[in-house]
Amino acid sequence: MTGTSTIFRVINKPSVGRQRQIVIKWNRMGQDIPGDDFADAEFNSPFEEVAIAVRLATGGVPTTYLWAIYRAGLSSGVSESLFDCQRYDSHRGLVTPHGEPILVPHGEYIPMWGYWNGPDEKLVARDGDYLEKFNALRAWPDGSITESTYVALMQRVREKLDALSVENLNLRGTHILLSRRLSSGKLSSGKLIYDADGCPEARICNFELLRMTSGWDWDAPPTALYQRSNPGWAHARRQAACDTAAPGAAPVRRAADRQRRNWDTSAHRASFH
Amino acid sequence: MEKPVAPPDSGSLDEPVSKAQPERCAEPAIHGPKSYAATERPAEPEEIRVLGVEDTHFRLDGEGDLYVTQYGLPLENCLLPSNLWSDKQGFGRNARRL
Repeated sequence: MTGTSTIFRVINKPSVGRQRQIVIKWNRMGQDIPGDDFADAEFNSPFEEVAIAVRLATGGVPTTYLWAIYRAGLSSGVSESLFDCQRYDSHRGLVTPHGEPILVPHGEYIPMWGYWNGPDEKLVARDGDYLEKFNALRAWPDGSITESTYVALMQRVREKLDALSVENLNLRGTHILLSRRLSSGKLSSGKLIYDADGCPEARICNFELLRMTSGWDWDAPPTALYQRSNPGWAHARRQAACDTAAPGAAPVRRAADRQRRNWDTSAHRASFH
Repeated sequence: MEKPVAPPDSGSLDEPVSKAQPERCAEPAIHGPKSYAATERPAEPEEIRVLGVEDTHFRLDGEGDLYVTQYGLPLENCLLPSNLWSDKQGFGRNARRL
């Protein structure tokens, strides 16, 4: 589907104090998917993209970082005749604390992603090119990986997604980023980054056509970065849970609770390093 | 002439307002966002949970909304659209198509 989406890298104004490279990519929710292979599929809403990205990152599958979603005040301009409103129906119950729907019909939604050039924790402290990224499809003809490595890598990504009950309807090499270290500041000269299993670290960067096969009923654990930035988060969350619990009610054990207790395990750390 | 009265919460009329309105070209070289919010400021943020993920919601004066994820929260000032683009020229200078 080359050429059907609009992606830019922008840098914030210097007046903010520190400059960050940000990837903005227009969300295509409601638009027809080009080609005949996706008759029953729909582009994800930006909030679904966030939820899936967090689900994968906390499950040990590296992803690029979705930093924010901007809803512009104006309409997307997509003709109504070309627009499928199913996502608005499925998101009808999702509202802001003021009761306003988070999805506004024909709104222009622009997810903002971190430009992948290094771990988020380093980029927050100081932006810079720690790593060079390139997509897996390019790595194969480049000679960075062999054909068999490419095939094995794609298969491995699919298996990891399956294990997390996430289906990718359009898994492509262009949706997988590999990284290599910069050698003395020169591009294309460093060593490929491998994961703990000795495979090239594959980082998913496209979430438009991923689908949660087991539904959305889960609680995302806070990221390690968020925990450090918000030292009081644990207390606030416990307090919120106490405030909403009925007096005398027994605590409800859920799979998400077990996951939350374990989020600082190797699987989560692996998503950053 | 009677001085106009500012509506509640709209900010002071004495505050500087950018005179540079979004310039619309017939066929721009780079298609940026359809709205440019030079003067937008976030209202008080609020926590919101969507599909199991906690976001921080900023209501922007320019009739837009910004939902910042946990990953983006340390960078919230960098992510305000007014700090990324305020007009088409600025966006054209600042953006590189990937």
